[in-house]
Amino acid sequence: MKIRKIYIILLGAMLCLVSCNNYLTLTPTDSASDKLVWSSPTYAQLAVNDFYHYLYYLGNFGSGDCDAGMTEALTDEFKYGSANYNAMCYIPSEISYGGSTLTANYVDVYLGNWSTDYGYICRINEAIYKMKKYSSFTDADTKNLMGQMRFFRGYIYLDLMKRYKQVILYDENMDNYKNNTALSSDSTCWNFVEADFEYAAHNLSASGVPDNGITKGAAFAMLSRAMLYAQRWNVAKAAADSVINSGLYKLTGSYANAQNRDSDEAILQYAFDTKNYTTYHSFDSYYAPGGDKAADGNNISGGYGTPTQEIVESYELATGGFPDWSLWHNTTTGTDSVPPYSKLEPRFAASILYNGSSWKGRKIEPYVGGTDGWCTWFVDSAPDGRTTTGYYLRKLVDESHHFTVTQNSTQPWTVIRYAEVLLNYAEACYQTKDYADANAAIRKIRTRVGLPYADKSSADLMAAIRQERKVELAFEGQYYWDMRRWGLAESAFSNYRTHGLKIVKNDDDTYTYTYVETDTKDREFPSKMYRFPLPQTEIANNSAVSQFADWK
Amino acid sequence: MLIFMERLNFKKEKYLIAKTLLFVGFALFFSPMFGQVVNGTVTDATGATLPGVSVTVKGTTRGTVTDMNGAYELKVTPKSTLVFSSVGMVSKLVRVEEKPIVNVVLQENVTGLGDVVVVGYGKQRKSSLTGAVSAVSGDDLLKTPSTNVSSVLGGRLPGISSVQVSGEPGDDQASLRIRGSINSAMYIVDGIPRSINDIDPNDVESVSVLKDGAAAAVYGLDASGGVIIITTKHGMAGKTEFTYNGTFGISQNANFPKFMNGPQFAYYYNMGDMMDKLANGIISSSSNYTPIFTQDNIKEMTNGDPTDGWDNVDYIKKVFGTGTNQKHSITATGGTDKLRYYTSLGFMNQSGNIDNFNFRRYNLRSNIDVDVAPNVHMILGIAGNVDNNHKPAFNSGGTDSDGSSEEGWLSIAHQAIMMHPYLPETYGGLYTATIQNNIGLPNSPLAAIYQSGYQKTQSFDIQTNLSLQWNIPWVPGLSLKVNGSYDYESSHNKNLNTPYYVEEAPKPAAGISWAFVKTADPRGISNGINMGEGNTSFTQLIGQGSANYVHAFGKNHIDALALMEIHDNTSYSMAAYAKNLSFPDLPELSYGTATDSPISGYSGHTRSVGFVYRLKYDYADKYLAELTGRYDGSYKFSGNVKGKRWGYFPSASVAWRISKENFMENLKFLDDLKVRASIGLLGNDNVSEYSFLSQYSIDGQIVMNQTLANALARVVIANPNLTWEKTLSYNSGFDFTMWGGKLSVDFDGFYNYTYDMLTYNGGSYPPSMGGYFVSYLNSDKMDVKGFELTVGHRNKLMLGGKPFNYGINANMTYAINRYLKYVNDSPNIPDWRKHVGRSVDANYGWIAEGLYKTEDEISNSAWYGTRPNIGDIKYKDLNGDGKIDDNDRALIGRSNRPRLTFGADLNCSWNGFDMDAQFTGGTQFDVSLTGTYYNGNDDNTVWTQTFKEGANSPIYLVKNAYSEANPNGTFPRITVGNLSHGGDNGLASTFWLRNGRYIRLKSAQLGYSLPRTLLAKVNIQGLRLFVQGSNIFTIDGLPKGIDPESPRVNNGYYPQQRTYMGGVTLTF
Repeated sequence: MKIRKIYIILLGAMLCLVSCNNYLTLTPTDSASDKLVWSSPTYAQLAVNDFYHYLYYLGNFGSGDCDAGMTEALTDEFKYGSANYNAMCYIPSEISYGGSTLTANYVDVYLGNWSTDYGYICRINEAIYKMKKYSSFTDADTKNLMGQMRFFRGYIYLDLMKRYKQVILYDENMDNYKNNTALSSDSTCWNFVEADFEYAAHNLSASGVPDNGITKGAAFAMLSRAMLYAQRWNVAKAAADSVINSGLYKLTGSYANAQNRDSDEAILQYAFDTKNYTTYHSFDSYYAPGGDKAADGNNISGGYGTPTQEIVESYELATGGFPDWSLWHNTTTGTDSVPPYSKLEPRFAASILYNGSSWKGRKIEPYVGGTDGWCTWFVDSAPDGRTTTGYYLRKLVDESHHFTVTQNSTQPWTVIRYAEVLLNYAEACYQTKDYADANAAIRKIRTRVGLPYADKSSADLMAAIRQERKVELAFEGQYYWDMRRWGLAESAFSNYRTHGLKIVKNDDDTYTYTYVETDTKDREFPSKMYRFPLPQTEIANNSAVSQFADWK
Repeated sequence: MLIFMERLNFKKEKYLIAKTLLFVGFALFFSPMFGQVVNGTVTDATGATLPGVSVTVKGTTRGTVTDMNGAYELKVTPKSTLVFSSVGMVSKLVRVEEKPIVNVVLQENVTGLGDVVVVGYGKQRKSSLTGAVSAVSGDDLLKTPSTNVSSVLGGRLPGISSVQVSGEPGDDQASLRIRGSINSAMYIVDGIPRSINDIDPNDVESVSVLKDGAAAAVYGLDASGGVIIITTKHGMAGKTEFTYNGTFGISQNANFPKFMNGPQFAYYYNMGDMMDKLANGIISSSSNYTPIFTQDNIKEMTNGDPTDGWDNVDYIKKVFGTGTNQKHSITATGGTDKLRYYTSLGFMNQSGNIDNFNFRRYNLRSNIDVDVAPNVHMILGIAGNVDNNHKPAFNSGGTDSDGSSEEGWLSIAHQAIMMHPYLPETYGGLYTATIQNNIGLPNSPLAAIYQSGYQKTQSFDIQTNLSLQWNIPWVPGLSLKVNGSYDYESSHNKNLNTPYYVEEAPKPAAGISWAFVKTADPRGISNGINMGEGNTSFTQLIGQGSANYVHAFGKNHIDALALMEIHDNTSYSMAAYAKNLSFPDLPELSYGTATDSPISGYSGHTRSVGFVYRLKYDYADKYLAELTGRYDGSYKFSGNVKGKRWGYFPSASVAWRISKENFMENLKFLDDLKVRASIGLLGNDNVSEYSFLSQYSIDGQIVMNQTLANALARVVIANPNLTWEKTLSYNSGFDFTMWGGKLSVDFDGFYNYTYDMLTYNGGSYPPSMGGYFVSYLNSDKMDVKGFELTVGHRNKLMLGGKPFNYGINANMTYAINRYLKYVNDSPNIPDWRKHVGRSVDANYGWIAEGLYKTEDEISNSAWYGTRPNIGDIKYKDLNGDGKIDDNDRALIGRSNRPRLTFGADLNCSWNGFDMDAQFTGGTQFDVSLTGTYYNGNDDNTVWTQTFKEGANSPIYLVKNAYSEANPNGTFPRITVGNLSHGGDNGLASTFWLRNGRYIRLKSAQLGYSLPRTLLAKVNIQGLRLFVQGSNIFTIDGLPKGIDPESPRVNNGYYPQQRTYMGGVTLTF
């Protein structure tokens, strides 16, 4: 009968279908195999592209350098205004207070980058390994891809080294990945970093475009930075020299434009999509002056962190030398005198917004009841964008960005720029007693902003280098690490408080400036913070390491 | 929508009619000629006619069903024996012997032993079960008012633990676990793995729960968490019978803590602010304190004039009001002895107790049974539903079922809690808002409900299956069956966001001017009116082919089954987003511009294959044995490595019906006594797809030379050796019934040993390895042991000359689990941090030792972070290093599911009245006061920190908090959040874990059926009126308003609902 026939056909069909193991072999619909990725240099570049995210992560627009907020807030330069117990609120202040809060676990959470960095290193090593295993690219393609990857590996190891001083080394031999691996000596570690940057520098092509991949210049520039941490002055000097002599970079005419996309000065930039806003960051929403919420449609409050009076007083007069600020150190009645903002060198106005600065077609009003407003830290715990120091950050914040158009920020993150290379060069020259070249480099930096300079030697020269690094590179994520590197953080960042100017607008349209503390207790930098603790998970699972003595 | 439904129905009806005609044609064609016609009437002991009794010719599948008057008619041969059977009645065999009329009286089966229970790929009599199976009839389910099946099973059946974490319409299913397993149960609907969420409870014939390996092993794949089988109703022969069932009801929050009113807020906020200032040294004594809220402010709150900017509003009540719901269903069943059908059409509408939450469902189900030929039986099942879910653009609240995450700082429930009660509802024509400290955004629950836009989901599901069974005439007892099923589910989703403005009140602070600031929507306004629209679809194709052989020789009976099953599932989804729409009335993508990230899409494809056998043997229905096995292949495991893709899952079980032994004959009071034992292996392939392959996938973009470029990242580190997780399950038990069913007891003890667990790897490797080890592996081991006990009592008394029936059915389940091996335990850690030997549900946390009472006590203690104050929580320094840190965390706490669960059902009926009450309860579990996260970091929620991020606080928390005014407070120090170490009280610690034991009257129902004699005059078969309620009360030891079944971590959620309903069932 028909039905029986249908029956037998159906049963038979099913048997045929499943008789084969292949029926169960499916291909993923959302991913590609290793083999495919490493079969062509174009695909391989897509895998290498992923490592570029690390540039963003470790910069001031990302959270990798310090998960609590910009590291400047751990120094005397910057103050986060909110007393809420959150990143970019209370926690950065809490770290700067030191004391018993700084347990190994706590410091690991906010400043330890061990796990993330090693995750990145593993991915880079795997990629190098797979390229060797699967690819048959031309020599040029291999060098280009390998150069990029080794740059990133050096870059991540540099980040680890500046935090931990000694680290565990893994290269692309994946068989070496084992449970109990010991730390290597610091010189072995620095050899590794140096070799990676050297490879990248000698195999990547030169180009002055900062946001089209890693270049020879970027590798040399980063090598010069790394070798200052390693105190390998000759290597640092030679690397900086290669950048300077390449002729591809020069200081921008205006300091304010140094961070612009594709500026003459930028050596390596992490760029964002300025047309469609598909890749973006949120720096402006956090740091734009508080008045931008009402005046420009910022949908969060802005003003999370603001520059302190201490950094303001680090700027020289435009004519050289420092103004006398004692008049504005009155803590009781304050003073009606206008601070000498207008007389300061141009890097001040390019970095810091003060009472009356022009901003997006309006004047900044950081006074009590002003558009931007004033808030006394901790007493008035809801700053809601109001400043606790009397200032706002201008550098890195994009004035041309309007929140009404989009909340998303798209100004590039400048990973390294020519001015830093000059300063690296100056420091390396100083350390190798080449005072003439050091002075020449410092003079270039100062001349650009119209400051006079007289040649110096020995300690004075080093002091000048430090002053220029502090001011030139302010808020670029260097100062905290420089101070640790120089061994000055403990003395400079202990037993002190930072300050601000509380501004009250008077009925006659003048302002009263009162010197106020921005903390309710002293800041401390314990010496153990020169080297961060190993994460508990490393110790719990790696019998070849133990916690650094300071952290036990 | 309605028009669409009508069209759908129309099409479906036409289709059904066509099919029916076709089948009738077949039936007539194949209809063979028989010797004689026999007819008769079936009645019960009282003489009432019994409709729906199955009448079959013994040894064949030929038969019919009695009609509404208990009458039947059947063509038979003179030597035939007729089998009369019906649920709840003792079956009866009658030889025809050329009698033209056979009238039968069936006795009520009080023992339930004759009941047929649905098991994997078949049915068995309860008396012949050898494995651990519980069952409940659909009628019993209807005693608990619910819109979905899952939320009524907890407490009804032993072995099931149930947690319902949301009361949101359309999202109020319960998550069920069987016998302490960490895997969720597998759901089978009419033989096919399917979701049970959209089944109309009216359509359910029975629910079976397969709990041990012997019962569940036939499902091999994914059956390790046990199996829940739902069977829908089939037709009865006879005149078409219609049943209308309608209910109307209201719903309210079953449990929600009470929050402060305006003056209370002012008082406690001042108190918290003062305590913070004292602790921070800003003031030296309470006499120096200047309150933030003044007496004048409080007067303005209570003067009844909201235009002054102050009022006294209960925002919790404003948000959570009273919801309504209604359900209607109409079923038709009938047919001939050759063709029977069951059709139902259902409609349900739930309007949530938060406005603008609405869920509407239309159901259709049709099961058609056709005897195509004497030996060919065909079943066609079609079910479909259309769901419409409408919500505001903000979600209602957290809905996490595993407690690992918390949803939505901007959920409506959280915004309601954020709202300060001293604010008027509106100011200057806009809703008022409070500012949320941590994100600095305005919170306005009323704007979120009424002005934010909407999220609309319309889903359309259709489920079909067609099975053909052929009883091979030349081999008696052998039948072949094929079953094919095609399910298609699709959903279309449209979300519209309409930006709004609110008047934001300032954060309370000393000396501020209390002026409102007009503030934009917390979601931002830069995208203007914006929308997203998307589609998802899922198809499941299943084929089953099986052979079944039943044979008896002497007293030996064998029943053998061989079956093959293939699954093929595909899914896809796509979505698009637009911004700056001109106006909300035209919410179409074309009326906007593309957003920053305007499109998304993905697809998936999965397959599995299984081969099943079952051999059942009994001798004289006294000694029973069963062997089953399943050989399963999964696409999730590598086919290139031998022995990984395919798994074999056998089971064996035996039972002995002692009561059938001759030596038991004298024990007349004993109806039945059976002992059972089983062992079985279950499998699980619950691991990320393609974990055996090394792959790259897209990980965002970068901008290179001003051009967007994709970035690829490695996804997993492949483990080609990945294979099945296995559970070895042991079960033994006994069942007995006595005194004609007056007492029945079922007892089961079980031990489930799970090994080769599919484990996410990594915890025991140093982070310096950067994750370079296989991402998943077969590693951990755990076990669960426990017992289940069900005790039932049923009796009939005479009361006022009428029979009074009553029954009590109580069940209890105890299950305790622990790890036996845990790969992620680091080698160099102290024992108290290791998982092995501890509950699978334990979490890391600190051990609290109460609150600090004196400064001396603080000085002599270790503490976390900075020096605490009196009234803060004291933690135990487990490793004795003088400080509290991460290393002092131990594995604390029991599960948030009770180890011991109870259920009790009380029911009675008399003279047309019937009543049913269902209690559930649990003990030996911990409820976190929904404040502690288990991620190792500290945080608080509104339930544990006063004025958390500026929120209103539950009364229990502020009233009992430590403060100068309340030095004996049992909760931590009151704070408005300005203490640097205030957050330390929120560390995950034992302080926040409370014994969760509770008893809940989960449902109660009272019904009255009008006398048949009365109804017969108007040609109505039956009319029953009823009232019912759910979640009526709960007795527990938690702070008032905290629900023992609430989600573990949340900042506000849509609570379980208490419902009251009235309804009618009409049969004609």
